Order: sequence, then structure tokens, then C-alpha cells
Amino acid sequence: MKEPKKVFNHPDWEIYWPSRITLWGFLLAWFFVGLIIAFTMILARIGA
Amino acid sequence: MLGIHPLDILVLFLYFIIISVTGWWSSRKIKDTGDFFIGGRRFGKFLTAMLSFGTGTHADQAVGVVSKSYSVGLSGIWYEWMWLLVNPFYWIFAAILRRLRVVTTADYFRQRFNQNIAALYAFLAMVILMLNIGTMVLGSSRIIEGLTDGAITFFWGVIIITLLFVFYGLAGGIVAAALNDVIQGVLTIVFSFLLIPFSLAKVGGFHALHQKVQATADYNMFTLIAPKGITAFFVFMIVVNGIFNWVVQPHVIPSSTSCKTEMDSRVGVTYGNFIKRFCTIAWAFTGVTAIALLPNLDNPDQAFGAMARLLLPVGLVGLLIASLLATIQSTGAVLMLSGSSIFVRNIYSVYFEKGKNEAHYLLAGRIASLGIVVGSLAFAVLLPGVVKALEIFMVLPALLGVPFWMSIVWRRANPASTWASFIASTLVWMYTEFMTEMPLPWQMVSYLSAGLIVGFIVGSITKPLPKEQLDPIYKRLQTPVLEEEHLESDLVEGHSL
Repeated sequence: MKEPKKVFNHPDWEIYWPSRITLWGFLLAWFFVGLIIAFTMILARIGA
Repeated sequence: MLGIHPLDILVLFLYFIIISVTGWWSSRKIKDTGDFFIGGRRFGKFLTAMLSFGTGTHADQAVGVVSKSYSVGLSGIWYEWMWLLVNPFYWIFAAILRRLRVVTTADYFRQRFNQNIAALYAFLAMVILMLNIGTMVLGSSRIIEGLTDGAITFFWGVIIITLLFVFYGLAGGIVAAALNDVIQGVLTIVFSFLLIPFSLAKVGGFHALHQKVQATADYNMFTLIAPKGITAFFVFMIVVNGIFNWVVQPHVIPSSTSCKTEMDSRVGVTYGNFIKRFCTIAWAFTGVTAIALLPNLDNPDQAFGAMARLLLPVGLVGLLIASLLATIQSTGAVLMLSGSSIFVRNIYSVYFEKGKNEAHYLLAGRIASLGIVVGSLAFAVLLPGVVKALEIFMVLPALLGVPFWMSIVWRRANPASTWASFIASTLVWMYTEFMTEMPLPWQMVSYLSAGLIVGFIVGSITKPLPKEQLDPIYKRLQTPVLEEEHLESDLVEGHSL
């Protein structure tokens, strides 16, 4: 198992850099958020 | 009869028979509470998605969004969509929660801190569940009042709905709720979108809708950011608050951790919730269309029911009422029994009656269930409306969400810092809510800052918990699911892979 790397090299803090799956999945989810908002805005403008 | 067509009443009875038979059939497959709460950690992406959607979606949320959109325009969508911008974070949080390898949130607090913090969480969870049930009863009674044109009044709606879920729950219906929830999930999606074509046809198309709705307001009712109430700052703060709120809601850990792998959890939780965000669009448009079709409603909470009555053909009104009642029957029973189980497991059997037999705790659970129902009814009667209930629901879980996240990222978080953070944020929220006229987003800034600052100060000056207690938890968080060989002997009692 690959050891995850800490963001702050301090014994009290347990914050780690995200893995590639975490990062790309997070960005993809934001893409879906944008898609849903854009869809709603387009729907709201029909007939305006 | 009852303000609805006899054919609708027939549909209502048929639906109840079908749902009761499927409920009884599915209940035979579930053998124990472990199967019920986390499905033996056997769920895949699809079931996790449906579970996340089903457990997190209630009719009262549709009522809330329709009500708010009826009052302020399309921006009313943010009363549920606040979770849309939190949704991408589920991709990260679902994996963290799955790696904790616990069954309930109280179990995590017990392992990370101690039994007293678990009891504190249990108490708050019970209040959250009572608020959940109360809001559900309140919202659904408003729909029924609207659907029957007042023939079934709000008061009688509350009584009928409460009796339905209390009898279903106490008769042992909790295990039947899973399949029932899946059926309700599908019907919720169908009913969310069903009103749109009927309402557009009635109002005369999109162009006529814009003209009629705009004539009622002095600002753009079709913008997502409105000048009144729901501003960009409001949206930003409810997203920040949502990050603290979501993780400690009682249903979140069971539904995020019922799957086999981390990827199942990430995909199921994130995209199951996206289905709900999609339904929210339909709810908001229903509210805006109601401005054009029903401009003079006494109570905005009635808008959803009144729209359904106005637009749906005979038969579908009965199906909508039946679907609504069956949702409440299963979800209300689950919430009620979850609350009583949390009480018996974390408070009663620890502080009041230790080491009693199963029958004793079963009876205590049933009495606690009735206590939870009384509390829920108090919420339903005392709350001024569904929107206010949603606002309180935004706040309560976040009060313990702050120490939860501190405990995940900071080793010095200890029981003293958790109590201090919780008390500080609660006092600040109560002061801003009851003693000032402070708007909700500024309340959120105040209580979240208070919780973080006080928790950090107290954690910094008090003794940290022993390394032997903390190391297994942080090691679990760094160990991917299905790579448990790296955990060696760190798993202790109460953990479940």
C-alpha cells in the first residue's frame, strides 16, 4: 500500500493530499453541477 | 367523498394493498438489524444510489421548494439545492465515511472520543429525527389538505399520517421499508415531473407563463439569484454549512457505508443525490407555475397539493395521495424506530438500566418510539411552516458537524474541545436566532466560527487523547477498503469491515 502524503508535516494534523481518483471524480461531479445549473437556466429562459 | 373522486379512493386502496404485500414479502428476506442498517455491506453502485436517493428524499422537501418558489420565484430552488453545491464533496466524504468502517455515527464518536460524546450525538440525532418526522408530517398534511380541497383538514391529516406510521413501525414494519422506499423513489421522480406538462398546457405555454408570473413581481422571478432573500452570499454560506451538516445526519453513515467498495460508495452517494437535485428543478418550476395558476393561496405550503388537484386527471390524484401516505408510512416508521434504537443503545442501556434482557430493551424501545412521536407532533404543530423547519434542519446537525470534522483532521480534538465547540456554537445560534434579527447566512458564519475557534482553543490547551486510542482510527482512514490486511490487529470491537 502506497503511503499517502500529508499536506502539513505536523504530527497533530491529519490532512492528506487527495488521490487521483478523488481529484478527477470531484472535478467530474462539479461538471455535473454545472450541467444541471445550465439546464435549469436554459429552461428558465424559454419563452422569456 | 373526502374531497376527491371515488376512482381516486379506489386507486388509493389498491395501492395500499400492493405496498403491504410487497412490504411483507421483502421483510422475510432480512434476518437481522445488521442486514437492515448496512445491508451486510453488500450493496453495489445502483442500490447505494437508490438508497441515498430514497432515504434522503421526502414529500415535505417538494412542499418546501414549491412553497418557497411560489413566494420568491425560481431562486426558491436553493432551499433544497443548497445541497447541489455540496454534492461534489460527497465524492470525497463517502470514501472517508466508508473507511471509518463503523455502523452508526454514534459508534464513531464512541471510538474517537468516549461514551459521553456518543450520548451527546445520540441526543442531538433524536432531536434531528423528531424534526425530520415533524417536518414530514407537516408538509404531507399540507399536501393532503390541498389535494382534498380542505375536506381533510391539516389537523386530521396530522392524525391520519401519524397513526399510519406508528402502527406500521410498532407492528415490526421496519424491515419492509427498504423495498417500499425504492418504489416510492421511482414514484417521487414520476410525480415530480408529471405536473410540468399539465401546468404548461393550462397556463398557455412558456411565453404566457413568463408574462403572468412577471406581472406579479418587481424583479426577475426566473433568475436563480434573486435580490430578495436568496442571494449569492446566502447560497455560499449554505454550502459551507452543508459541508458540516451532511456528515452527522443520522442516515448518512448507514447509507454511505452499506456498499462493498469505496467506489460503490462514492458513485452511489454522489450520483444518487444528483437524481434528487434533478427532481428539485421540477419542484421549483411547479412553484413558479403556481404563481400564474393559483395566485391567491392563503398558505404557500398548500401550493403543491392545490396544483396536483387542479392539474392531475382522476385516478392520478388517488395515486399521488397513496404514494405520499406510503412514503410516510415507511420513512416515518424507519425514522421513529431509528430514534428509539439510538436512545436505547446509547443512552438508556448505558446510563439508566444496564445489563437487562432483550425483552426489557424492546419495551423501552417501544415506549421511546411513542416519546419520539410526541416530540415530532410538537414540532409539526409548533413550527410556523415547512420552510422554517428546513432552516432549523440546516442548523442542528452542523452544531456537531464542526467537532466531527475537527476530529477527522486534528489529533488534538478531544472530548473537552468537542463539548466546548458544541456548547459555543449552540449558544451563539440560540442568541442569533431568538435574540436578534440576524439573517440566516450571518447566523451560520457566527455559530460555525464560534464552534471552530472555541474547539481549537480548548483542544490546544487541554491534554490530547492517548496515541493508542487515536492511531487505529487514523490508520483506518488511510487504509483503502478491501486492503484491510494492512490494518493487522487494529480492528477492535464495534468495527465492521
